[in-house]
Amino acid sequence: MSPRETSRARWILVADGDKSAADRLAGILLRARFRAYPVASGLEALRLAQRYRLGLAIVDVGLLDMTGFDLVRRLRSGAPELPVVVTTGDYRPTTEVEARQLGIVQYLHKPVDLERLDKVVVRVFPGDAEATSNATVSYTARLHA
Amino acid sequence: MTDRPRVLIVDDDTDIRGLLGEALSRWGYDPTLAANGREAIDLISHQIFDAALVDIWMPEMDGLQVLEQIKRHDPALEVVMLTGNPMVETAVQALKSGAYDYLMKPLNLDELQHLLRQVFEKRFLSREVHSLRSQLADQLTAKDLVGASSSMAQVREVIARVADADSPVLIEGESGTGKELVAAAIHRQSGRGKGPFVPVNCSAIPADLMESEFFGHVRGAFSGAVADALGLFRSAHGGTLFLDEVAELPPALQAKLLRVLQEKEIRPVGSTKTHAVNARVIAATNKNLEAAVSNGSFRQDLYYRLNVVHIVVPPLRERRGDIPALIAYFLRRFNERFRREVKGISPDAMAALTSYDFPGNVRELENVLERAFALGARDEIKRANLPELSVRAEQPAAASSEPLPTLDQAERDLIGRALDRFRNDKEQAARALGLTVRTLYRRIKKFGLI
Repeated sequence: MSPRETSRARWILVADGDKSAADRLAGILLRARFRAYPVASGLEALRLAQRYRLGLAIVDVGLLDMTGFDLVRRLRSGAPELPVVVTTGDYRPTTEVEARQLGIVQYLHKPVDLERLDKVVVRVFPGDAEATSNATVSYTARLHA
Repeated sequence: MTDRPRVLIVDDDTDIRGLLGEALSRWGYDPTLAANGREAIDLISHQIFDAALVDIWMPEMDGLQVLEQIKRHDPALEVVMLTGNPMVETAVQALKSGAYDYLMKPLNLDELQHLLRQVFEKRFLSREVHSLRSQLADQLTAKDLVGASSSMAQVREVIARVADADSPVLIEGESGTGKELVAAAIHRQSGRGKGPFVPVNCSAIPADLMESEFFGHVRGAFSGAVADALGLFRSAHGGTLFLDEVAELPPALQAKLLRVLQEKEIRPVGSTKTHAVNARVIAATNKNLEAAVSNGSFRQDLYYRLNVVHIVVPPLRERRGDIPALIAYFLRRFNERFRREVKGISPDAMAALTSYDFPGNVRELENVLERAFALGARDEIKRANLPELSVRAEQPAAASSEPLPTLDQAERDLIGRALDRFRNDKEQAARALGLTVRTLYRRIKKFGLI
């Protein structure tokens, strides 16, 4: 690893028990030229985190083998500063209260608002602000078209 | 209007819906009416309710089906069934499917009022149990405020003294000194300890998303708002909201935060209603907030509101005596995580650690030791396991006879070091250097550092 790695060298983890949802979101980020990696299982996510330095984790509440909350706690024990976005199709307030106690940068109900996610990504990776913003937004526009 | 419990009323009879709606409003609830099961399901999937009254006999989707759907969606939402036909089987089935209770029509309003009161008492209790469970993980970090030095003893003493005061607290300290641990300790020792502790890094939230992050939103408030969201303040209801890096709040949000602290109520984005909030605010900063006030970037009135109790967490270099205790603490933790049995630290490694300045404070010490484990330390951490320390420790030790660098050289060197330390994270580097990100980029370009 070069000491002057660019922020793009940092990975974005996309964890969702619904693998196709993870694939879709990771696909959008990849098109915006981020290194996004989709997983459906928490253990696979932890393996990824051991191998690469994560810049952002987008974690759904429901994973195949553990809750998204458990995954975030375990990711944080190795990287306490890791920015985390929690996504969920579960609109219950208790779920939001539990998620926010983890200290997250954004809580997103599904279907994920891509414009909102884009703003978070730009904030987390400020160096790539313009390029990212344009790429994701144009993709978002195409999705909504 | 304040935060009244929201009750969903599902009944196909217009008169009964209207009657119940009126009665509930009078009793201080916030009723929403649905004429059939489909309407009800649509409502609960996008709005947050605290309880529901559901008629069992309805055309199309009957009350039991509605009950089932509600419970699948939100097991904690309490449902009272209303039945015009006292059939025991139906009533039993309703209770088996998770209904809280049932009432016979014609309705006795006194009975209903009493029942609803019970429901909300129960709901409050279950919320408490819920947050207790999520606290178990936190307790592990409760001991993290390690150190026998007098300055840390003083910090612990202030924490104990202010915990129950319920007033806002402002924590000042360099990054990595453990400001969040201090906030969490205050929370745990206070009467709010059983409530949620909600930490947020104000610098990490995009400015134009801040309002809905802090105050929540209602469904449809903007194109992506598919459901009601509580936001940070209401998520911290009954507990503590910890605003880290509070100096980074943009002026518009500073004004709104001040209003919340004064009036103790919030209005979600897109809502016409206000909700009472009961959350203690603890703020932290690694900047001199007083200076930010005098240069105009932070509101003075907000500063006074937040700064009711002031705690300064000392940097590690001012309490070097705590370093051995911290090392012992981290060794225990890393032994568990890496499944090793590192028993101690060699004398030269200890000497290097206790003489190092640790600009990144406790967190840097933790990182240095973690890297030593990753680099293969087994029985003992040796000087060779701490390679980064030697590079950094020797850097500032320039001999006095050396020629002084030019200002440009010094600046270039300093920026390079900051970029290295924060692994090229320009935002953190800029913050550490006291520059804006934009200025840092200009300097990087000027010195050709990329």
